[in-house]
Amino acid sequence: MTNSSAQLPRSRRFVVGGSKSPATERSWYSYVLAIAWILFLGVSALFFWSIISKSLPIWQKQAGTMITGTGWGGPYGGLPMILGTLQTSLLALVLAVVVGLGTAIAIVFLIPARLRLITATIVELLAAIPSIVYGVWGLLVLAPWMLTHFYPFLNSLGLTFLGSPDLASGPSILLASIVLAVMILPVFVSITREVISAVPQDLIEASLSLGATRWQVIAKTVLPTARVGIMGAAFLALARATGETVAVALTIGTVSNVQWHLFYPGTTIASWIATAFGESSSVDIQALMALGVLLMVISLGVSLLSRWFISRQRKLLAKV
Amino acid sequence: MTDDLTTKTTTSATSSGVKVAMQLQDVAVSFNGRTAVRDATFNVAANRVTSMIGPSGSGKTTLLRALNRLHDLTPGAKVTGKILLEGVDIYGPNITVTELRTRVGMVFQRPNPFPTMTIYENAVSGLRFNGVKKKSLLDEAAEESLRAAALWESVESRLNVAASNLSGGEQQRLCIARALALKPEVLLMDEPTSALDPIATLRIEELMSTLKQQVTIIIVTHNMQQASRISDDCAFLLMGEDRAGELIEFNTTEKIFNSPIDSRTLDYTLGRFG
Repeated sequence: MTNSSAQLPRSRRFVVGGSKSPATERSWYSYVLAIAWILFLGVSALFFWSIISKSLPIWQKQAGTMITGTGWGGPYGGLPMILGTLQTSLLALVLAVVVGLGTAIAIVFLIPARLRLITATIVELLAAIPSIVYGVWGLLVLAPWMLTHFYPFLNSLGLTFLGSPDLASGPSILLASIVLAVMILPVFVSITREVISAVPQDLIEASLSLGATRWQVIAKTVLPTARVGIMGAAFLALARATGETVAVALTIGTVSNVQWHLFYPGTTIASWIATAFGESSSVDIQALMALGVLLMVISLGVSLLSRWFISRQRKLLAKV
Repeated sequence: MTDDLTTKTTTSATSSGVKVAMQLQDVAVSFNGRTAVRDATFNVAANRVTSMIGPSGSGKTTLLRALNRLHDLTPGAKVTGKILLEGVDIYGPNITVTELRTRVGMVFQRPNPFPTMTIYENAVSGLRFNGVKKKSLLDEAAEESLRAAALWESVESRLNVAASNLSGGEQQRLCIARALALKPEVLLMDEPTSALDPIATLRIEELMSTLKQQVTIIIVTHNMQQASRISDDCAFLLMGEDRAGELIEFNTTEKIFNSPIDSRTLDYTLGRFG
């Protein structure tokens, strides 16, 4: 009985059904795998090397301006794009979390089984719609409506810091944020729904047995237990929002100014790269690549945070 | 059959004049029209331990969960018959279910303290659900219930530590403390030691014998030795031919184990099946 698996004949380890000669089969099989693996590593390395090397001159010449400066074409200032990315994605996140949390709770706890299926299907459906469709919808349907109804309404609430409805033209940071919110809603809802459903039933029953009402069970037991995982869902949605390109490019107006008034056009990193790309000189391209690196770092950071939260949620539930 | 049952279910409690905490009258539970347990008629004597025993599928846990209306939230669940708490029908119109559950507490199979709460917060969670905010009241209740659950000495210095740091047995005693903090009249225990090691099990059993002075205990257990060790009265349930559980016999534990009326009870307690 001494370590029998290690003493198996080599050919026994990679037996694939029907082969006459296991040894031959093993060799072509593993070559294919090895080639695929090397290809993967090579393409990844090439990708990172090319965007970093293409943007390197910009980082060497004007790294500070790239992050804090404004204006495009002398030195290249990335601040309007960075700020716009943060504005749109964070605003979209807030909107999506408010609506999405309510939706997820409703799907899991409140609505009858039949309606639950319909709601869940709609959520899945939203996820399957291509970005361009969202963009066109935002520009052609939402923008005119917001111009005639929503901006004046917000203005009448006294939210004048958002800008003047009379000076607004349609595409705006707010419009892009709302479109983004709708786009990231499915990701947030479906993960939040899973996280909430994973809260152990006996914790819910324990709360009920202590005289908790249904709302208390949700507010005091389910949400606190799921909190970390919901953060994970939010960050995953945020990662999606920061990288979204086409829908934002169509709805934000793509003007490279630092813009605090949300009724007016602005830009984001992704939409700026997409729209400025066509008429760029080789130096411009370097600057756009540098923006691309920035976006990659932001997205990667947000994704990692999301993973960290979700793994912490797993650990919490493992302890329960 | 009915006559048979009534003769069998003469309770030790009523015959010896002990106060009755809960009365079950022909209780049945069904899910979507399918009966899970039926024919449950017996009295639960106050300040005693009543055990419910029987093989898997005999409906012990289902019956137990009817006693604090935990089936209310299960779609398709229906409880028929009467369950009286101090003479009042708990499914009657004048009962608030959240209030009922503070009077009939529950401890579960798996130790399940709230994972995001500290030991202290767990102990007072029931009071907080019920709107108690005053710190002094909460402090007092925490100490009192943790003492009652024989946990105070070992956690006194670390009340603000997450409850998940406790051992399994300690966690289960914390769950008992959590239920006791509401000063319930009845404590339902659903196989409370099945996830615990023998030493932790022993401590919970010892705890139950002291706790019954302040609270009536109804325990579901798989373990016949446990039922015979700790309970005063015993209900034996069995799965019928239509796969619905039913009450076979109810009596003092001593009689159930030594001189049962029904031969099936004898077979089960002797370990001939189950």
